[in-house]
Amino acid sequence: MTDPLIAVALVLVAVTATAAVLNREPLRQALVLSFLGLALTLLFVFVQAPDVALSQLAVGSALTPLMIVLTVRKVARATPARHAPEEDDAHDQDGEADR
Amino acid sequence: MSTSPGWLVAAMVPLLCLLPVLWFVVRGEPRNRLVAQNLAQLLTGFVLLLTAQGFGRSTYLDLALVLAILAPAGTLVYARFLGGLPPAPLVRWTAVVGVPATVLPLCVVSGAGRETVKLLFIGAVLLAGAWVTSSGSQPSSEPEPDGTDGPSGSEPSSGERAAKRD
Repeated sequence: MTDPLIAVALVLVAVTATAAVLNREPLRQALVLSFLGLALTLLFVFVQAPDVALSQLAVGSALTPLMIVLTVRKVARATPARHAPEEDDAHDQDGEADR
Repeated sequence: MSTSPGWLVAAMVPLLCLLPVLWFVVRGEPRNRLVAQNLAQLLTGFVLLLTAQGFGRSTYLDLALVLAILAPAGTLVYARFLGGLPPAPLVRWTAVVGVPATVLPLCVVSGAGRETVKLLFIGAVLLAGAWVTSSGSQPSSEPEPDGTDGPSGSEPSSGERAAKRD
């Protein structure tokens, strides 16, 4: 009975990983990566490796997407300040346009 | 240890429900993606609960416990970064219907003991997390002190750092 479960989990992992690659925007990629972590967790549970599933759940579905989101936020905040440090109004508008 | 196929067949139901949810995570509107992600975490919790019973190993319940605690926290953090979380009646009703439908039969099967207490606790955490995250949040209209403190407190400090570097 575990074979259909493993098959469905494998399909989920394959589709989600492909979608994560095809998604070009990092913020949306973070959510897809979080889903990929969940799918991998399920796959590891179905092949009865709960210890691997536990670490995958913590790292893959929570930590990695969170770090991506934090990085995107920091980069988006730091980029306009580097472009034009003397013209406050100009680089503020640049930053708004970039976002 | 023997697997009981009935529970694994039951685990197939929320697992197959994950497939349409995946579509919304990948191709939905930006707001709906977060809701779909929240729903996916809830469904994964159901699968983990049913699989633990299906494989006859109560230690697998730890996974569901970790997920039930991590999922709402992660969703709320995302909601803060992505700018708000829309109200999601689908998530709320899935939790209200699915949590008792999953946890109560498992409690009946496992009988009185530590496992039942654990199951009830996981069910309560899942339900509470889904209830909180499905009610939605709009951080722009909230007059919360830490909601307004965070960005305004860190912007000047980064500006000062940039000024010192120059």
